[in-house]
Amino acid sequence: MQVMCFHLMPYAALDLTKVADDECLWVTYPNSNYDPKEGSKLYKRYLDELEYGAQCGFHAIGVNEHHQTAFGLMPTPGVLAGALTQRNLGNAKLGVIGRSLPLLENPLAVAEEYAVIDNLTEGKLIAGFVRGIGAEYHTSGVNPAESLDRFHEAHDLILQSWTEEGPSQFHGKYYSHRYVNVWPRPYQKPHPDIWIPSQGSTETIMWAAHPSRKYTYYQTLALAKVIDKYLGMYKSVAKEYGYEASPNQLGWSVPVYVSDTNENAINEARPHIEAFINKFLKMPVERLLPAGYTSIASLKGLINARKATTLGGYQTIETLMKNQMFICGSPDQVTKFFKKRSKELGIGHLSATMHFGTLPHELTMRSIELFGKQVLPHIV
Amino acid sequence: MSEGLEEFREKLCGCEISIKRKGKGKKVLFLHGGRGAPVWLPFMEELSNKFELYVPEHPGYGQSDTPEWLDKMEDLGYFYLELIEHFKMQDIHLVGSSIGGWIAAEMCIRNTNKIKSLVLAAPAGLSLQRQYGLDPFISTDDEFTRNAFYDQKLAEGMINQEVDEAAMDLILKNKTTGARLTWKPRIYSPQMEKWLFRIRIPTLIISGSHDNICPLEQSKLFNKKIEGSQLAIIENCGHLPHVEKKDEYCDLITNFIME
Repeated sequence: MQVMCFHLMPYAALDLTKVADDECLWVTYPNSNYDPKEGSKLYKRYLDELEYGAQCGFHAIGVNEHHQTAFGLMPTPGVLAGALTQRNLGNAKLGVIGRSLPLLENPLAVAEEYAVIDNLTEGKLIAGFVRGIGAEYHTSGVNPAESLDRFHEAHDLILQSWTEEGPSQFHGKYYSHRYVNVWPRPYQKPHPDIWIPSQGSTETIMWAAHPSRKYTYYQTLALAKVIDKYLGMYKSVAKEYGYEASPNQLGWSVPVYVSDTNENAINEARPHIEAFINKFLKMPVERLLPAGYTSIASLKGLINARKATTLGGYQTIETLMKNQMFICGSPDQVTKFFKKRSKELGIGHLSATMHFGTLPHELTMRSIELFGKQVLPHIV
Repeated sequence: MSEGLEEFREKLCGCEISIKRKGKGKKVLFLHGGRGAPVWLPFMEELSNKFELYVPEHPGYGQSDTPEWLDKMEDLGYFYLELIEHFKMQDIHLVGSSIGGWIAAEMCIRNTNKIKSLVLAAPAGLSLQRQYGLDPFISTDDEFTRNAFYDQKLAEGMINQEVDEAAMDLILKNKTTGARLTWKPRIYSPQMEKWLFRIRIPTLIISGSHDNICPLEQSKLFNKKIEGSQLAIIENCGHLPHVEKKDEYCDLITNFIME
């Protein structure tokens, strides 16, 4: 199994005592609450943490994209990935998981950005493509009802730009380019590895598992039974397509915290993971899943799946651990858990979110080190 | 069910829609707002006592199909012009509520040969909405309902109504189509305003004095852009005058059409 050290880069300097219970940190939370002096320190700190992940033996480090939120300060993840290319990453891959394609008016911008990173890293980029969660459709103004079609079209355009000799042409419903001729070309041939992170969607799984793609499907934060459901769905969809899904096609993303003992781990992580779930991640359904974002049937399914996470009541660390939405403990405990669970799920990729909510730098660094040195060698 | 009320399905432009019809006299085509027209409401009953009232459910709404071709509000404008041809209707009196008003305006800037008069009630579709109106896509259902009424007792009554799963499915369907048609630009057409001068048939614009969804300012702009149109403001009324001030609303429409 390949393990990624993943970061969300939240605005951890936020004074959470000032955030009301019904307040949402997405879309409309005033940016007057952002202090650039704190923010600039956080960026440097977070880049240090990811670099340390690479040095502690993680196979990859990863960033992603969110907009207009204290949840994550990476509206342009390519910039941060670019900064990371100038750090000491050894052989670790660099994942941008991923860019929200439907939000773009010109998807070739991502084809170019990814190609630059792939060149800078001499072929270590993992190229993530996502639909973007509902909130991004409020912040970008893009119509969620067009999201799935735009995603497919933007993907086709990017792939064409990477794999066909330019200049070529592309004419779709949403994107029309008389000249497709991207400079630079990606370093990897035929193109960088493609990952498709998703909160769970039948449409996305059918598409990602298609024999012409066989992309790595990444299930993001969800209840254990939801993880089972969607990874299981990928495998059975692959079977219907006439092949067996390889572990390389299946991934799972989950926040992780490791300390010297189980008890210390829980005590140290408690306020930070509870802030992550109950404050940073919380959002009403109109923001998470706006009308038009999925089919009505999928929408109802997702709302039910999300009730226990971001739409429900207060979540304690105990509940989160019970539901396997947070993996926390001593190196031994965490090793045992991942050995068993990764086998059950048949996954070849794990993305461990090593920072969450307000977790301080020292605890983050120690957890990265303990995981990298005492867990990782036993679970690969 | 109201006596004499017919409900039938009709297929045109590759799309089967559901239509309610009742009454005799001048033909009135009512175009519903964003929440659809799932049931026969008291104001419909009242109008059908005086007119032959047609209440279709738009493509993408309620019991009607959602056709592949449905992208923009102007598609619905063309569709209803086609519906008038399809039924070989003449001398139609068009009444549009909220986004139904927007559809009616899209029709009338294109062709009013078969349309005798136009009523726009709390119409959507101009950019003033963006500045002053509530964002229905980010607000909760309850917030929307509270903003739709002046009389908050009516709003609370609506909020406390039980909604079964079938009704919830229809609400989701209507919202999904609403997003498809009006998410971007946010509930307006950048093109329509400049062509409103082409509407040269008698036009009445009705607005609640306290409409937080399609604000009065927007109705005033319709009034300004459609030469010779009248503006009637219903006092102490929100976005749904046909519900909140049914009698006044029906009287305004009846008197206007009878003129």
